[in-house]
Amino acid sequence: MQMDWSYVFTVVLTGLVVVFLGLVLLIAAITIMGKIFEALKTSKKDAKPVPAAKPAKPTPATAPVSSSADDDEVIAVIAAAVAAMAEADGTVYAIKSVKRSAPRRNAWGAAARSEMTSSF
Amino acid sequence: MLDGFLSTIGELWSQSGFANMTWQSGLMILISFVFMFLAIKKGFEPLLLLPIAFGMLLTNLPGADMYHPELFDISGGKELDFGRILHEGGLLDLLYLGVKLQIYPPLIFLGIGCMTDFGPLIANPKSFLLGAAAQAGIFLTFIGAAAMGFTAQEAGSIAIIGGADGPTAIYVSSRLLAAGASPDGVAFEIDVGNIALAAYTYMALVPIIQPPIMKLLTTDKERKIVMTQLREVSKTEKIIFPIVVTVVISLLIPSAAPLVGMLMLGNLFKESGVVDRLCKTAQNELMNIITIFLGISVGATTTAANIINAKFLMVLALGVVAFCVGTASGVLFGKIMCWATKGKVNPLIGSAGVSAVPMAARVSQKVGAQYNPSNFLLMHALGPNVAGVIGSAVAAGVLLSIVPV
Repeated sequence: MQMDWSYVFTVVLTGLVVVFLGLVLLIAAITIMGKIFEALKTSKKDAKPVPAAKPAKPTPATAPVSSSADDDEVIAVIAAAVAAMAEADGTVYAIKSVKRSAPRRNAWGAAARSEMTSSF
Repeated sequence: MLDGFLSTIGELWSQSGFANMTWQSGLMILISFVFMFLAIKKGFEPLLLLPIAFGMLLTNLPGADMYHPELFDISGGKELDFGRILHEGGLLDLLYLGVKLQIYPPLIFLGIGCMTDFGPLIANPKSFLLGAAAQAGIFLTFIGAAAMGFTAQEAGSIAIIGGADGPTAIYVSSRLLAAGASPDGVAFEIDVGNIALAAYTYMALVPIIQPPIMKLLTTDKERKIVMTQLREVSKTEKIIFPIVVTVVISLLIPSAAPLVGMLMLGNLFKESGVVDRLCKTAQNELMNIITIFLGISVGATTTAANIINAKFLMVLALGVVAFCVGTASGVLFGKIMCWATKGKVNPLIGSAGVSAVPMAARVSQKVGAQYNPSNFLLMHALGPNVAGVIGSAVAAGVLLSIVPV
């Protein structure tokens, strides 16, 4: 028996509208939740006293100046790597600053992701 | 003595499956072999396809009588006789009760919830729109099913295949088709087994069906779009998320509560971190047990009489339409979002809105990587993908609310 077409289109229209409405409500709820948590995170950061920048330790290569409060050990490792390279090619390098690259999409990360997703 | 021997052999032969084999049973057995091949050799959804295929084999072996459809016959206004099922039913009949009474799908959702990370969706809530857009396949297929002369209950059951979510398809069809006939007295010509088989077949074929549609609807430039990294989501947000979703969706569409509620309960188990044992059980042992029960009992319903008929071919045709329309709607909405955000959204992630976690997201990743090998869309596609699970559960709730049973 053929269904009444007005009923068919009512089901389709109601279905689409309610699904979108439900998920838009969720978008609103989750966005508000996200904003609240971002605000809380920011206010916590502001409340914390900013620690005084530590002077960089002298390294075999040169004295690096860190642009952020990076761990001294990391700077020492970078300096050691540069010193080793300098020794190999006989050039003298000066490390003026150590900065974290803007996006966290480094070569090692990309290689790892590529390996993890290659099977897909 | 020789006569006795020969008559006994003759009797054994007449009782054997070989003597009682019909071409329909033979064909179904061959189809089960094909499904087993696809599951074992090709790796198409083997966790479900293998038990379904073996259930199909068992139920179509003449004389084995492992599943008794007559016990579940409720045509002509008959009530389901549970006492008779318990007394006369065998293993597969009892397992099938979990499908008939809609017990397995919510339990599977519990396990899925334990395994799902909603982080990408929380980080980018706009992904919900892609999950909603991909549900268009469900409702637009309803029109096609109506045009082919199916009843509203049958049309709703067929349309839900477009959600690309097996448990949801079983849940909706077992509810809509439970009465055996429409309120007008028109007997249903399809059953849960038809719907489940079509749904799982298409879910297994996601990597084959989706890429051509995705490539057809997007430009080379769009496919190469690299999306910015998602923000980090705190543990507290992840804990609050399942509670918010349960409250919002269950208040809006109460009939979606069993599926959404169990999905979110599983996710709360995972994110709370205080019920590790329950979480592990739900996502491993319980999920595996239910998968075996569900697969084998759905397979058991695929008798030759149920499958070799024109109506099932129509279900298959409409199912693939539902799936393709869902994929296309997701990609087209992705294009709209791409345009609205001035090229920040890669439309390929839109196809992942059709549930099928995580297969659909993997397909987005794979197609994206074909055009830009350093592009990692997987996490971005997981947002619409898990939104699709919620979206299809909501669509299921809507169908159950507006289609009379």
